[in-house]
Amino acid sequence: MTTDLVIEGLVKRFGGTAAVDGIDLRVRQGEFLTLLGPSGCGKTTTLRCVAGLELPTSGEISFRGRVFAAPGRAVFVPPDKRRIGMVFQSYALWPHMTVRANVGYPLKMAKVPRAEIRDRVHEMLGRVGLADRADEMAVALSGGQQQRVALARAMASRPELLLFDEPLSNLDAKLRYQLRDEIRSLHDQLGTTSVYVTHDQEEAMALSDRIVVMNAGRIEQVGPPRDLYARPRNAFVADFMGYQNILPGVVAEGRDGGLAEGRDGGHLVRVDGSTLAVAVPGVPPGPAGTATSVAFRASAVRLDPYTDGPSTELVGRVLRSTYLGRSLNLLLDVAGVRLRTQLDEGSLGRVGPELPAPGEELTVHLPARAVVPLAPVNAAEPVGAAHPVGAAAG
Amino acid sequence: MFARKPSTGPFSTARGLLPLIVVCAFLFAFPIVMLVVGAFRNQDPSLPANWGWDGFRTAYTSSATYSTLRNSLLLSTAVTVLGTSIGLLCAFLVTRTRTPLRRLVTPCMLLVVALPPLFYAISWGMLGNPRIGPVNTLFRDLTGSEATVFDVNSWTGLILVIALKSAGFSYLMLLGPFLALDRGLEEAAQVSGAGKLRTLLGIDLPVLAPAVSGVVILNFVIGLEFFDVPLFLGTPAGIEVFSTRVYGLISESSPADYGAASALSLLLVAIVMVLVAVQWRVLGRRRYTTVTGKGYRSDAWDIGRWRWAGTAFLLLYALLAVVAPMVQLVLGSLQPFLGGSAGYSLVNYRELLADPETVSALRSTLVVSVLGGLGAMLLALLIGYAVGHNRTRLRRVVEMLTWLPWAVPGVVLSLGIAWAYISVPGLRQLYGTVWIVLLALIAATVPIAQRATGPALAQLGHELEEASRVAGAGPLRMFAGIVLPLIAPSFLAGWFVSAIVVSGNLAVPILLSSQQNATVPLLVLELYTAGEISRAAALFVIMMVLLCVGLAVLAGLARLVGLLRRRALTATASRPAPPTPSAGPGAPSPPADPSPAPIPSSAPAALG
Repeated sequence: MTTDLVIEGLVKRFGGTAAVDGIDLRVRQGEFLTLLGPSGCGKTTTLRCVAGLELPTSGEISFRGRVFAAPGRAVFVPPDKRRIGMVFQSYALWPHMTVRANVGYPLKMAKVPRAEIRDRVHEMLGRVGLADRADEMAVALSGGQQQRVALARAMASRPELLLFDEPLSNLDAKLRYQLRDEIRSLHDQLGTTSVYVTHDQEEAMALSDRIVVMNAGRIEQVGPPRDLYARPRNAFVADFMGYQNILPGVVAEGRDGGLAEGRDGGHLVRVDGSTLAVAVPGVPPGPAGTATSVAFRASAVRLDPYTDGPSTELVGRVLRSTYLGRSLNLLLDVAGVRLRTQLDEGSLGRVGPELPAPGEELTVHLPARAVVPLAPVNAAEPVGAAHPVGAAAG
Repeated sequence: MFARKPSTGPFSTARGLLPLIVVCAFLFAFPIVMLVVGAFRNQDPSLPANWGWDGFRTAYTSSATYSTLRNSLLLSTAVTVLGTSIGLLCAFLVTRTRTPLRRLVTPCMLLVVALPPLFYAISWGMLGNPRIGPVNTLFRDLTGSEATVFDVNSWTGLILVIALKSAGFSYLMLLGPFLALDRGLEEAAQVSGAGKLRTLLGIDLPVLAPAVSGVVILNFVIGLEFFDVPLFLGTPAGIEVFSTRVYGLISESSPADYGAASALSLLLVAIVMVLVAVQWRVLGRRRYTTVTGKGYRSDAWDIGRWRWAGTAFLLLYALLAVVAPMVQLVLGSLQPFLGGSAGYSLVNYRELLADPETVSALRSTLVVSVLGGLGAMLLALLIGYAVGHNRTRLRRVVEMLTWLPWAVPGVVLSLGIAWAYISVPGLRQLYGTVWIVLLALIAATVPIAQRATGPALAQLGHELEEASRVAGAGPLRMFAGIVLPLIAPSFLAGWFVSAIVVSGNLAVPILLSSQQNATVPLLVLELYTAGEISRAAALFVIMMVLLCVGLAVLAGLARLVGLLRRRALTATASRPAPPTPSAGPGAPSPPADPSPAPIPSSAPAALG
């Protein structure tokens, strides 16, 4: 696959603050790439720089070899000359135009003959299931229909690059799922390259070929959804990917806890402010005493001892117990560390007829292969400072 | 292909803003600077300078100055209290109760704001005339006594008439915050055990406080700047206020004391600027009043029988502020002698229209009003658009410059403009022509025009423009195809209101017009002070009727253009559609989406 969109060293400052602080990115032809991050992380600003709606402070953006913006060389292609399509959060349908006029507008701008405009508008509206609404005023439609019109408009002129700025965040949950699938299937049908911005992790996973997790104007991690889900690089990504337990600690000495180092190259991490040591796969990041942190999902723990590899035995006191039907969520105090755990309804029989109550003691097992060693966030701020134990979203 | 000067659109860079800053500085800031120069220059703008402190000496050692200062402050305070209270009560009745007739309040208030102060000065001058005014004659007929119950040429009259007008401003400025008031806040207070009155005082009032204090300060500023009404109604009673004294120093001293007038103006400018700065800060904090959340409602309160009291209040206000003055103006204009028993005739109209001087004044007033209104709207639109699309610090400079005409009364502004144009060689020839009057009127009307363009531009989300750019439209194409059609209705409405405001402006032409190009308000003043009150009323009626007819023709033309455009669009749309392509694997859409359509609200442009 060839590379379509290239972003190199992109920086965008507003006054003194850098909204985008050095982004390097390559998007392949036909790829669906998502910029994911909390509000203010620079994802929308990056997208707007690609669209030409913002002037980058420095860096370079090019598409299929054509330079879009290079402030260093005073090159800037205005948005209307970039031949892109964009879907906005607020739909941005022109209220004084009909659905047909909205969808036909990019074609009109591209000086497509009138008869062809009609056919293509009709075809695009057919694709989004609104062929019968063409002559209504755009804003007379419901929210979901309006965003479908916006989709049709963005794709009407068959742009090589499609940009999406949180297009689903104004819709309710059911419509979101539905339109999400439509967006991906339209992308596949038309074979465009798409860059999509969202703060919704699930949306990003469902849509993307690759996800770029952003934070404070920088990229934290790039990878296919499964990589990010299973192997977040640092505490920020882990938190964003729904890891409920993020524990700062140091590389421990020796091989206590019965961890067989040889078998899958694991090591032990002793959690800060506790005697708890967790078995972690892979080589340690440094000699004993090196600061590091680890993360695991609440659902990774189990009641039975784990025999297929190294694991950590966690003996703790129940602080809070929440029964959710499908599962039981427990907040455990293990040697002074608060851990969020989740047990399947199916495995609960082993605990006894009664569910664990606050104050009771409970032993669970954490397989080493479910524990992810983390690198420091942005290599600048210490992991522990940003994510105190137990403060991670559960 | 590559743009030479990289920018995401017009006005987005500091350089793009510069021409606008130059224009604003020239129109708004330069006259004020030149006012300072004029205070030391001590001479009629058309005569050589006579540098010195004489102007300041005359202005600030005279005891009359301090009594006018006291008068102005007194008048402003009274008007502010009364005008804001009426505005608050009306806003409350309209937004929070089911008072009958409440829906008529907003159109009525728009009318109050659009009617020039001159209208109120003449019509109330007739209504409350101590000898022959209908208020008194009606009272006498009813009671048989010979007493005078109400003399409009008095403090009470001044305060009442100005407060009636400023209630309109207050109401329109308070309507938005009142509408945005979240019913949830009140419910939370009531659930916490607060009664209705407690809720009103403890929750609603603090939430509205920033908006209310902004209105209070604005009313005070407007009260200080009022010119027409004090000139017509205060002068006979010997009540002089700041702006009439500035004018008096020029019109009544011989030779005209331009130095003292300028020196005195500086004090007023200073006071008002401080107030405007305070208001700016206050309004800057206002944002939290318009917090909109999901599940936001604003149901009406049930105030029981009190709603009839509310209706009575609204009717009384409409009677005093709209119905009585209008009826009086028309009836008065039809009387050969005001209050006389000669019956009604068109003699005033006949004689006015036979007078070539009046006809030429009507013609130039119409031209100045339509052009001045258009100029003010275009400038306000450019300023609002530029400020909304610029993120450089220069944006603040533009905002600050546009506050200046707010802060300067019309008499002072025209004095400053006289100084400004006389000092620039190329522009000196404009002095005494209708063009300098036009420019001054545009500068004086921009603040009102901004009230009309502001909400229209705010409603026009940036994404609508960005979507157009991304779709392949250049900046000009985007402006013509998206921005203009969307703001056209508000623009036309704002143009009309601005034109009416310009037509009734007396304070600007009173110093800048020459005898040859006098506008109608000047002739109205002349007739009124000469005692020909019914003829003055007739002239005013002619002007308003002509202006309204002219504007209606314009509106008709605009609608026709819009209609033709739409017909051209539907003509292309009604050709038979091709058969639906079979390829449509996109998930089938449900017949109706549950989420509501966010239709952009066409909020009434708040004018004031």
